[in-house]
Amino acid sequence: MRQIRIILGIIIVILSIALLAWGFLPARREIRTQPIPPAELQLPTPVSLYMQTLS
Amino acid sequence: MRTGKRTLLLAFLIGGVLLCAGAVIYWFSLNKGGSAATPPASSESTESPSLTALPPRGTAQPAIPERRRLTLEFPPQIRAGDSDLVRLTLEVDDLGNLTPTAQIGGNVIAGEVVEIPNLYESHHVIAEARFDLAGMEVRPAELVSEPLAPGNSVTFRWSIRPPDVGVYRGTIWLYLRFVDKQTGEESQKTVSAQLVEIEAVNFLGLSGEFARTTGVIGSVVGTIIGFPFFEEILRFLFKRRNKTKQVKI
Repeated sequence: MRQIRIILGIIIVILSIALLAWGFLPARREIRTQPIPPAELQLPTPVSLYMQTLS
Repeated sequence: MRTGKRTLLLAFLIGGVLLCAGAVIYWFSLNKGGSAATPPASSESTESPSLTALPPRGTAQPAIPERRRLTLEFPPQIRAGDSDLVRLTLEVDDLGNLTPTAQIGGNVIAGEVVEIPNLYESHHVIAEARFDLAGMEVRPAELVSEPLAPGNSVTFRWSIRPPDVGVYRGTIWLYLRFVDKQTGEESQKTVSAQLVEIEAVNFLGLSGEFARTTGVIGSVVGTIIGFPFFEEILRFLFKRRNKTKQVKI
């Protein structure tokens, strides 16, 4: 009876610790880095001016 | 008595194994935390600036005289019911090369200096960002604006909370709004639109909050039920208390 109680207790503790570990595990973070050249940070070119530049 | 000692030893052994397992899980989580990924090359991400044609000298469009770097940080997996942060930073790239480069017929011509008017002198530059994510609680949900100053970084933060388990897909938009200092004329440009996929998970149907509460209660109950020395400690304490009471009488 005593041994059954101990085994039951240990199972409860193991399950509880698994739940705690999952509950407190810090979330993995993904970091995306994208370089932006100055050409991307300029005023939007009007269509008429863009066509003129190409020709 | 012999069996009791053996059980006590077993209990200590299991406790040690659990502590080691916890340490290993924590170590793995710390290592995973720093993973970095570079987005696939798209029309938005121009790793090597290659212009098909440079505007003639003197007619160049005003531009921001800085090379900047956009960093997006988000959790690809989150516990359902828990909240987390998504961060988008537009910072100055110190290693950026400001020399314009032209690519014509496969030949790269570099080093031709073109006078580009400083956009900060003629315009107010405002960075704006929005996070569109259907089904998930996102705060703030509306467009967020931050003024962009020369050499300064701009950071946008969103708090997210998935109500249920599932895969949530959305887009993080970054725009630049230019306001002419003299005329007040406004123009907007989309700088980046990044696709984001966040998976909300649970553990055996339990949400994060419920799992933590159950874990704490279960640990206490399991310790009281399972560990024999706890019973001995309680018995010892009660005996001592009773003795103290008897002495007082």
